[in-house]
Amino acid sequence: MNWMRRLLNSFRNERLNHDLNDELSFHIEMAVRDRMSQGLSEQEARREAHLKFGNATLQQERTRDANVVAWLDGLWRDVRHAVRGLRRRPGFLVTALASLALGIGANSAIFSVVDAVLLKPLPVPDPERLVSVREFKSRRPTGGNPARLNDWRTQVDAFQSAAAWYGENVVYAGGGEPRRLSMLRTFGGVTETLAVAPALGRTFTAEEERGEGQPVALLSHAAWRRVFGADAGILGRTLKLSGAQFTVIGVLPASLTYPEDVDLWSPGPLEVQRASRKAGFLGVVARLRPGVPMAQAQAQIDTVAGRLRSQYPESDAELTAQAGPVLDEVAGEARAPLLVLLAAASIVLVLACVNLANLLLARAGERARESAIRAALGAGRAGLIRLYLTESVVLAASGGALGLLVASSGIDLLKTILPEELPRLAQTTLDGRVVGFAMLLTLLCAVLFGVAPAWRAAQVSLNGVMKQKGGGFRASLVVVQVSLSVTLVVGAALMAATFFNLRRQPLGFQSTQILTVRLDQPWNTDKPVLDRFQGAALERFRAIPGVRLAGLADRLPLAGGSQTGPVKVRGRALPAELEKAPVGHRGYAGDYFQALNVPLLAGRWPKAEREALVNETFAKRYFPHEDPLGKLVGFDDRQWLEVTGVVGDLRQEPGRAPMPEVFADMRTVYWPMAGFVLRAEGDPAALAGAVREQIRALDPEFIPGPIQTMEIGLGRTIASERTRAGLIGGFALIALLLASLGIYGLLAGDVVRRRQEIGIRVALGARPPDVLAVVLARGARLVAVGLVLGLAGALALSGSMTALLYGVRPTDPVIYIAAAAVAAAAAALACYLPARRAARLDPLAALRHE
Amino acid sequence: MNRHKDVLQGTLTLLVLKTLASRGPLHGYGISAHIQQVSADTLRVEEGSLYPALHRMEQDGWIAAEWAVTELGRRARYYQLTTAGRKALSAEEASWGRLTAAVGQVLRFA
Repeated sequence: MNWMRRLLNSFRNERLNHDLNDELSFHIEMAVRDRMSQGLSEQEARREAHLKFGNATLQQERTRDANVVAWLDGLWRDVRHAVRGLRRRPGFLVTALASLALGIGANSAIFSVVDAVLLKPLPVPDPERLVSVREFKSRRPTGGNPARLNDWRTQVDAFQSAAAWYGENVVYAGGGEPRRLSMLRTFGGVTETLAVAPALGRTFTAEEERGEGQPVALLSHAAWRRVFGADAGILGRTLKLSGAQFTVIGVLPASLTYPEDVDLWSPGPLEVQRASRKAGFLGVVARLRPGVPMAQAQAQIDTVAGRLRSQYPESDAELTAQAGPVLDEVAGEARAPLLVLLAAASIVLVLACVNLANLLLARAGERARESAIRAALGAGRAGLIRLYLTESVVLAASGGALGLLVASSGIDLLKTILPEELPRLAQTTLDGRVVGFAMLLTLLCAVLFGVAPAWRAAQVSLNGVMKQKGGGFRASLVVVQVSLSVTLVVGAALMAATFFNLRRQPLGFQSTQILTVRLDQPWNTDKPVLDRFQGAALERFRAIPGVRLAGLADRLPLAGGSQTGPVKVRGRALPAELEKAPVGHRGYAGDYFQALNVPLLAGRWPKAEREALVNETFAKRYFPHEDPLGKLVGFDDRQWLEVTGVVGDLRQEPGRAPMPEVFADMRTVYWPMAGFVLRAEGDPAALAGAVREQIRALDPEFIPGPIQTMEIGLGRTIASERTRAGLIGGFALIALLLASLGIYGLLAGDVVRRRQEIGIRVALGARPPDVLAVVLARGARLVAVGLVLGLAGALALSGSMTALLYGVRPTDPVIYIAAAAVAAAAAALACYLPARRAARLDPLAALRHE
Repeated sequence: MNRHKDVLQGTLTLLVLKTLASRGPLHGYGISAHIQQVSADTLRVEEGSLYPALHRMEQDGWIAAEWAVTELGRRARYYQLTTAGRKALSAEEASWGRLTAAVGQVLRFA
C-alpha cells in the first residue's frame, strides 16, 4: 500500500487526511463484503481486498502528481531544500537574517509610532465626523472663546454639535498625599460632540454645561481606577479639588483616551463661560451631521465668520476659521519628523533587500551548474524559479519573525527616546496592525530580493550561459545602493546641522549655576492670593543659604511664548505693520534678569509697579531712531507702563528668532504660572532639597512643578532634535555600511572571476598599481554614478524637511559636499580592499586556478 | 505538468464521468462496481487509479463530493457530476468517438 500511504502522507491537513482514510477504508469494507457474499471467508476476503488494493503501478504514482496535494508536497520539499541550503552557508544566513530583522524591525517599530500618532482613528464613534475648528486673526492662529463657540454651534448648520475645552491642573488632597490631577474644562455639548456615553452615572445637564448650579465632574476611567480604586460608590461623592467642591456624576468609558491624559471633566466655571470675545483660550471641535462633507461645513464657517467680522469689529475684525480633521490637529507638528524617520528606515530596508538580492544573484551564478543539472533532469523553468523563490521566502519569513522581536524592543526604545509630548505615544503597542505591516514588509522584501535571482537562476540554466551575465544588473544594484545611502547621509547631515545650530544659538542668558522651579497655581486663583503666594515663595527662596540671586517670570526662557497682544505707544500712531503685530506681554519679579545675567543695555531697573523693561528687539523695532526710555507703552488704554530700561534678548522658543517683548511687573499681569530662577553660589542641583522644604512650609498641599537645573531643562528642549538627528544619523550609518558591503561584494566577486585574466596581465608585465587601478576604476565609475543620482534625489526630497531644519537651508551646498565626501570615503574603502587583493595576486597561483 | 496523459487514464476519466451521468451520485466503490458490471467484467478499475483520478477531477471542478450515509448506514463519500463535468463529458465523448473512428479506419486500411 505504498501509493496509498504516500497519498495520505502528502495531505498535511489532518481533516483531509482523516477523510481520505475513511473513504478508502469504506472501499475496502465494500470489497470485503462483496467477496464474502461470493462465499469467501471474512479472513480470505479481507486478504484479497487488501492485496488488490496494494497493487501499485507506475501509472498510479503519476496520477498522484496531478494532485494539489502533490503540489504542496513539492513545495514542502522545496522549503526543506531551501532550509538545508541556507544552513550550509551560516555566514550568509546570519548576515541576511540580521539585516532583514533590523530592517523589518526598525520599520515596524517606527510604523507603530506613526500608526498610533498619525493614523489610528480617535477612540470615539464615527471619528471621521469629528472636526477641529481652528480660528485665526490676521492669519495668526488664535484660541477660541465661549461666545464664538456658541456662534459656531448655533449658526453652522453642518455641525450636529460643537464643544471646546482647555486643560488645567487641580490638586486633590482627599486621598492622603496631595496629588495633581488634570482637569478638562469643557464648554458646549462635549459628550454629545464626542458621542460618548458614560460607563457609570450620567453626563452633564444643559445647565451644568453652561457652568450653572453646583460644580460637577466626570471621572476618566483611568483616574477612577488609579485614584479611587474603581470604587462604584464614587457617584454622588463630593471631591475637594484645589479648594473647590465638585460632585462626581459619572465615570467615562475606558475606551475614551481623547483628549489624552485627562483625569476629570468639568464644565468651565460661570465667569469663564462669560469670557470676553477678545479672549482666545479654547480648542474647538465639532461633530458634522451624518453625510455632510467637510467642504460644506467650511463654506458655512466662512459665511458665519464673515458675519462675525462685521458684527463684532472690535474683537473679530480679522477673524477666519478653518475646519479640518481632528487627527491633523492632534498630530500637529509631530507629522513631519515621524514621516522623515519612516522614510529613512524604509531606505535602510530597501538597501538591505538590494544587498540580499546581490548576494543571492552572486549565488545564482555559483549555482548555475546545479540549475543546469536540474533542468537536464526535467525541471521546468517555473519549477526552478519556484525553488529559488522559496529560498527567498523562507529567508524573508524568518527575517520577518525576528524583525517582530526587534520591533517589540524597538517600540520600547522609541517610547523612551522620543519626546514625551508626542501625542498618543504612550498608546503605541505591537498590535495586529503593526504585525500586519511587518508581514506585508516581509512579503515585499521576499519579492524585492527574491525575484531577480530566481529569474536569473532559471535563465542561466536554459541558456546554458554560465558566466558573467549578471554583472551589469548587479552593478546597477550597487549604483542604487550608493545613491540611496547618499540621500540618507544628506538627510542626516541636515538634521545634525540643525541640532548643532540649536545647540550653538545664543541664549541671551547664562544658563550655568541656575536652578529653575515651576510653581503653577490653578487658573482663576484670585490675583491677590497669587501675588501673595509668588511674593512669599520668592522671599523664602532668597533666604535659602547658597542662593545668590532669585527672580521669577511668567515663563522660563525657552519654555515657549506667553500672552501676546498689540502694543500702543502713548501719544503717537504706530506704523500700520506694528499696529497689530503681537508683542510678548511678560511679567517678572525680583532679580530675574540679574540672576540670568541678562545685560541691561540702557536705562535702569524699574522701581515702581508701573515701570517696565523692553527687550532689544522691541526697542529696535518700535523706537528705531530714538530713545525708548521714558516712553509710555500699554496693551490696553487703561494701563500705561513707563519704559525705564532695555534688556538683551532672551530666547523664548528654540528655533525661532526673538520676538519683541515688554516685561511688566508681575503684579500687573494675571498669570497663575511662575518660573523661578535661582542663581546658586555652588552646585544649583544641591539647592533642590531646600527649595522643596520651603514650598512645603509655605503650603503643605501645594505640588510644585519640575525643580531642575537650567542646563538639564535646556537639554530637554532640544532633546527631540538630538533624538531625530541621532536616529537618522544611525540609519545613515547603517545605509553606508550596507552600500559599502554591496560595493565590496561586487568587486570582490569580480576579482575572483577575473583571476585568470589578472594573472595573465601580471605575467605580461602589469605592475600592482596598474591592476589596482583597473579594479578601482570599475568601482569608482559605479560610485560616481550613484553619488550623482543620490545627490539629485536628496535635492529633490530635501524640500519636505524644511520645517524640521534650523539655521541650515535644505539645499545648502556644504551639506551636500560633505555628505558626498563621507559616502565617497566609505565607498573608496570598499573598493580598495578587493583591488588590493587583486594587486597582490600571485600570477602563478592565479593561472593554476581552474 | 503531466500533459501526456496515457489513453488508459483518459478512458478512466470518461468512464467515471459517464457512470456518474447515467447513475447519479455514487461513492467510489459504486463507480468501480458499475463499470465492472456494465462492461461484463471486461473493464476492471484499479483502486489505485480510481481515487487519485476522482480527487483530480474534483479539483478540476468536474465532480463534486459530499459525505453521506449509505443504505447500510456506513459513511461514504458520494461523487456527483457538476455542470463543468457535464461539458467535459461531452468533450471527452466526442474525442473518444474521433479516436475510435480513427483507430477503426487505420485497422480497416491495414
